Amino acid sequence: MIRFLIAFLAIALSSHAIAVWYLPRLAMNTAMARMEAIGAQANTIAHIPPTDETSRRVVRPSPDLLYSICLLDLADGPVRIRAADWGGYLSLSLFAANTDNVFARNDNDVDGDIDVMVANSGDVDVLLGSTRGIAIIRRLVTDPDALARADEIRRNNDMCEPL
Amino acid sequence: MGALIRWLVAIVLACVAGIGSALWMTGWTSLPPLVGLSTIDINDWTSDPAIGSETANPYMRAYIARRGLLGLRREEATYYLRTVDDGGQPLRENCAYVIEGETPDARWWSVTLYAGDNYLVENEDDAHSIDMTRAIIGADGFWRATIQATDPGDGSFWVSSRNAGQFDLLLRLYNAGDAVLETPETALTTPDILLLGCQDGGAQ
Repeated sequence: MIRFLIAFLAIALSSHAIAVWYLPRLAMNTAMARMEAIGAQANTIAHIPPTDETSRRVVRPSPDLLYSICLLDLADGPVRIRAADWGGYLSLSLFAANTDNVFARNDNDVDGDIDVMVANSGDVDVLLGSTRGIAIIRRLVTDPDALARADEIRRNNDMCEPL
Repeated sequence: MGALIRWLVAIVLACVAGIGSALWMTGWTSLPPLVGLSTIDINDWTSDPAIGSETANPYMRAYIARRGLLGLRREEATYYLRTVDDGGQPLRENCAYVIEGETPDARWWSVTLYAGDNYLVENEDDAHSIDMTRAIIGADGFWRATIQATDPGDGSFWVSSRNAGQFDLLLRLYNAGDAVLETPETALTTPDILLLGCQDGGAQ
């Protein structure tokens, strides 16, 4: 009976630990799959339409921010990402496969565009810590004029591509 | 054969217990989670500086993955969640509230209303949030908004709760000042949420 209880506890604790470890990765994989389902491709910039009540790919989106994303796949080497300056709030953030926000920089930190090289190893600006991840560019747009300007600039100048 | 079946049943039950407790503790079920944003609690606005951080413990990371995936690290943004009014009652669609607050020390702030499924409420009112660029600061130094299911039509700023059911509010602070980041309990004055009344008459 004791052997039975020990085995039960060992299996329960192990499955518990594995589940807690896996859940963030599951959430990231699900988010990435949803983005792929709407046409996002690895290492390619994708411009998300303005956030509204139909935006249901990632929880708690802000209706005041304009998002562009890049699904990172670093298996074949570094990827370069550029978030183009547009004169308003701008940030580039990188998320590893376990959801950690390993990098965040905004327009106050740099002059002009935010331009970084990310990889899983080697001498680059950012080490992601995983082969896959997500890059997000946020722009604060709370009126139609700002939205139009930010949208034009991001479509012409943002970039995400392998080196 | 009987022993083998007993072992198989035990293994399945152990896995169910282990995985089920993980889902519950990290907020992946409909039950109240054991883990929550509770490291910082300022007048029922709760947050955790570990959001987005590589120092987050596995439970916090799993909790955030469910309720705030792709949240930024605190140096870029901090998030405060509010689920109850000033009387401690859950925020509900059939009640009307006034939210009022001072301007926090941050480059930009907003308060956004989310439904229980963690997404924007499914209505077309285009009134999901109030933010620094649209809030009007009164003579007393406070900004205010009315939260209810219909446009109050009195000129006040409206945040719509139509179709929300039970909802919550998320306060975003982008590039908050050092004091707000280091000692939010003293440096940050969070908004109040005053209950005006409810259609079912359950509260006044």
